[in-house]
Amino acid sequence: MKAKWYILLYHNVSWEESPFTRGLFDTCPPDIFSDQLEHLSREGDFVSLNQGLESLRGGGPDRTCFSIFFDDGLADVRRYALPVMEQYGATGSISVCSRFMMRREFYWRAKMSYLSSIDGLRFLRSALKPLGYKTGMSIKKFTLDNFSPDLVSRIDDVFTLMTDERLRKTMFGIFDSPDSIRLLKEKGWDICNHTAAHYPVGEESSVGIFREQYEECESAIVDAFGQPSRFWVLPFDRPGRRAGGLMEQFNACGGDRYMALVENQPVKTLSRTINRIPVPVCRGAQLLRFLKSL
Amino acid sequence: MIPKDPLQNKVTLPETEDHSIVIVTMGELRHRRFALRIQQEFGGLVKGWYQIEKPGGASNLIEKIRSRALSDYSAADLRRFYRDNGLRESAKRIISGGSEALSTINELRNRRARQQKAEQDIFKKEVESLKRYAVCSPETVEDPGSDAFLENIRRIDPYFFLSLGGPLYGKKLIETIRGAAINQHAGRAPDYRGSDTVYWTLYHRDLTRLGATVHLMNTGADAGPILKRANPSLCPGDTAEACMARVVALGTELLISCVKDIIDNKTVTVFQQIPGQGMTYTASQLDGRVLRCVARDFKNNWLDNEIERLKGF
Repeated sequence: MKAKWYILLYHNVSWEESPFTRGLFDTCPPDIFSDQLEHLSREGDFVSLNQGLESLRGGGPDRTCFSIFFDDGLADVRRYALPVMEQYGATGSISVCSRFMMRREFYWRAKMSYLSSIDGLRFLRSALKPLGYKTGMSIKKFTLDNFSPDLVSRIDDVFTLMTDERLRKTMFGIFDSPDSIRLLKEKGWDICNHTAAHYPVGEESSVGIFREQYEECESAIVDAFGQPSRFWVLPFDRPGRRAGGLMEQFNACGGDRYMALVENQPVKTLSRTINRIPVPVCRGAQLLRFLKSL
Repeated sequence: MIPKDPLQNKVTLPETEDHSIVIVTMGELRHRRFALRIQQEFGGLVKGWYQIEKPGGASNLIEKIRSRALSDYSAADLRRFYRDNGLRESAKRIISGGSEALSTINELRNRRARQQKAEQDIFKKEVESLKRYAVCSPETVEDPGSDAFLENIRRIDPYFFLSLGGPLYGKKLIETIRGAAINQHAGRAPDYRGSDTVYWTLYHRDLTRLGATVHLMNTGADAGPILKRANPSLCPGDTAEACMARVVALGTELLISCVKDIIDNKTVTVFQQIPGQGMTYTASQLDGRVLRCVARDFKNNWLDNEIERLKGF
């Protein structure tokens, strides 16, 4: 492989696929994750985000290097990915949403994923019709394209109707708590800001709350870990749907931080943004072929 | 109206300072992973690991052929068939029956080889690294229903009796356990109980019910109150045997978290299984036809398509 810096984006590593996440992203089984890291370790070095940036400052890496990034702050990352990464001497980065971590608000998309597992979508479809939803549309796409606080509240109403209190109390367990994330920090992991509640703040519908969402999460990160984050991670980064003034918003409040985006590209030059490559669930050899093709 | 989900209630287990554990498994790699993961998590609390020896080799194969041939085509049935249909049709039936029985045996033998390969691919590296946590070696047991085995368990007097892949246990043994006798079942109870339930779930193309269950033991097959249940993460391209291995790995993790919960908090929520709900499968029900149907679906990329379908809404 060429001497480039690849930031690999995962969400979860676990033997379990939770109904809360099944509809959102692929969960990587631990044996597959281990196989991927074994193959990657033969091709290059594992580096932290800061080491990667440092190599770019020096003109680019001498050999292929990989950083491992996890979005959303899920608890199984610590349980299953951390031990595998320690075997390969890799430290990772994890982005957290403060309201999930502090058990204040549950991820609105995870509620939809759960509803899809219990035949709750028919109620959700009805609830979304006044907002313009039409039969046959993809609920996932409609809710992202037409995001609003009203839409979140309608999802919550259906979710509350379809679930019991015990489930609503225990569901936060899929996200790691500040105490557990602190363990990752102590092991050298970067804790990144993924906004307060994972609303699409990079898109026109919600760019108005960009600052407020990041600052709320930033304040929780400082309270919990005693240090501000260095990377702000854009939720639902859909390159074609980024709001016009997105980077201006970021420049106005992001300070000297970097913005983490999603794109199938290694990081080539030093700028205010870094690209992360979503990793498919596949064997290590297949992953290398995929990365070589980029 | 029968409720969709099992009824839940609380069970309080006795307080103790001694949470000793006995593990009972079979001898495949997935069972060794189960035993070693428990030893990794609970170390010195594990006081014994019993491995049940399954009769194998030629005698087992002959017994399987005999039992399958007899179950499908008893002598009395054949006599009746000969009387009604004559020699030619009877000969045809015997040949087709024999060929089906042999094909089933062959499918089962191939499945075992594929299962072992899938377990090697998924667990081998992990099991090698887990060996350093072993606090005891497996002791072979020929008959877990024997008085000698019961006596051994009484002598150890464990708080937890943790089983994977064993037979049904008698009331005497279950009542001997001071705390909880817990079984890990590679299937989603109550929908799929008994043997080979991963294959039955796949045969019914019921991916949302592909899962592992951890339950308190009673004398029924996977019929005790449920402690935890979940679905496995899968990898596109997985074989049916890889699905089975992943279900077992998940079940082991669920069981470990149940044991931790009980150690920390003696009152746990259980979900009662309602008699008559779901299905219990026996080993002899899994024949070549079922295995061939599952294999055909996997060859046609059913799993990958279904994973994708479930994620899109």
